Amino acid sequence: MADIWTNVEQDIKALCLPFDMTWELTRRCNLACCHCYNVKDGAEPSLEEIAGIAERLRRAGTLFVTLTGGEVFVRPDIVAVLRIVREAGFAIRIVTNGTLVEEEHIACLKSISLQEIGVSLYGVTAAVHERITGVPGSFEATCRTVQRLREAGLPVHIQSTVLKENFGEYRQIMRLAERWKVPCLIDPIVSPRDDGSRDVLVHRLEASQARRVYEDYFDQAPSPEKSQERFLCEAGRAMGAITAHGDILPCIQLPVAVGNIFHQELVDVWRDAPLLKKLRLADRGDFGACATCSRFALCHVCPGLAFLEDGHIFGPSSTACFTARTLEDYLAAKGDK
Amino acid sequence: MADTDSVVRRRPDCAWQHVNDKIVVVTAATRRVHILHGSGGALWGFLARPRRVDDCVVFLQQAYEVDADEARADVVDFFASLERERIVERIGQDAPQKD
Repeated sequence: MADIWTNVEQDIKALCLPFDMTWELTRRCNLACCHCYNVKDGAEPSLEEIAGIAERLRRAGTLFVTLTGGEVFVRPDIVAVLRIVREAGFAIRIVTNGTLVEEEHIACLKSISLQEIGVSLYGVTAAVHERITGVPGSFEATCRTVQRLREAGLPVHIQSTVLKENFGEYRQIMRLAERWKVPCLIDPIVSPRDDGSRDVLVHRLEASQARRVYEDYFDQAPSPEKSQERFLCEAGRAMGAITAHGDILPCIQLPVAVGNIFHQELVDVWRDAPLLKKLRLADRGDFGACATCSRFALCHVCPGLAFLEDGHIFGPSSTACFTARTLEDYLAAKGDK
Repeated sequence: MADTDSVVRRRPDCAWQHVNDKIVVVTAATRRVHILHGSGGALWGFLARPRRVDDCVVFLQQAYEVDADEARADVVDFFASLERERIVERIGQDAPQKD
């Protein structure tokens, strides 16, 4: 099985199939999270457009879709959307803030072969969580949804961005998840907004705080060093994104449109877009200062973060550099290097 | 699934996609990824609509030029394992419409 899967992975990469796509169903959201990268311009494809996108994704070779927003459950027609996406044959993951999930949604989620549902939780108290979401009552609603999803046997996990505002509670969030018996993903990365504005960066952790979060993460990672063989992620190869405007992106975190699914076949764009070709062919030498960096083997080179933070796709990002330095210090302290 | 008169179909709760000459199937119950290739992929294609096991045997015989006994044994084994993994299901013995 392992061999045949490796063989399939090689095929996916060689054929450059957009196998795993993030799909923005709306740019509307009922919360006002202080660190959100999304531009809430209200864009939202109609049901007819959703069906058309699903067909194009299917034809291009997509199997996994991660439905995101905005907030997907803000759509009054979300049940119909989920049925369309399921009937198209995709394996579905969902990202939600959990505040708008009703019984009819849970019944629908049980019928669509859901692979994963991630619920954003930013604290273990209403005060901290709602300082970030900006909406009173959101903490209780989110917690209730996590429990109901779990009770329904759905594959729920908690995801939490760690900011200055909730740094004091992130370990308690992890413990709460353990108590609830659901997995928990902690992420200290705050990226600039998709429109380039950097106001959200004031919420980023101080270096010493981020170091502690990373060290907790590294403690749990089996091997924090990455493979030299392929130093870039699958953005623009096996992974990509479709925005609520229909723009086709190499990754949801790399907001450079290479086409538009309302007007073009994804299969054509994915094959021919110059930026995607460049990402697929890129090697270490294309990444400027990264090429000679001593921490290269420890670094998670991210073209999306590099673009949003530092204005170039092929080059270092401030966050990646910081993470690699932190990992180097961590390994040195542990005597692993 | 030993009864070759029975009708099988792909489980509608599975997600799947072609990857080159293979089929990648993700099951709903276990969220496991399975790969079907060779005659397995061909049989999956043949199951685009529900089929009698007997018809699958004939399909395999013709597609791979194997004798009837070998084809029957392969199909029965294959469907038994797919049924265990919840990738296909038996839906009775009504003969589906002919092509």
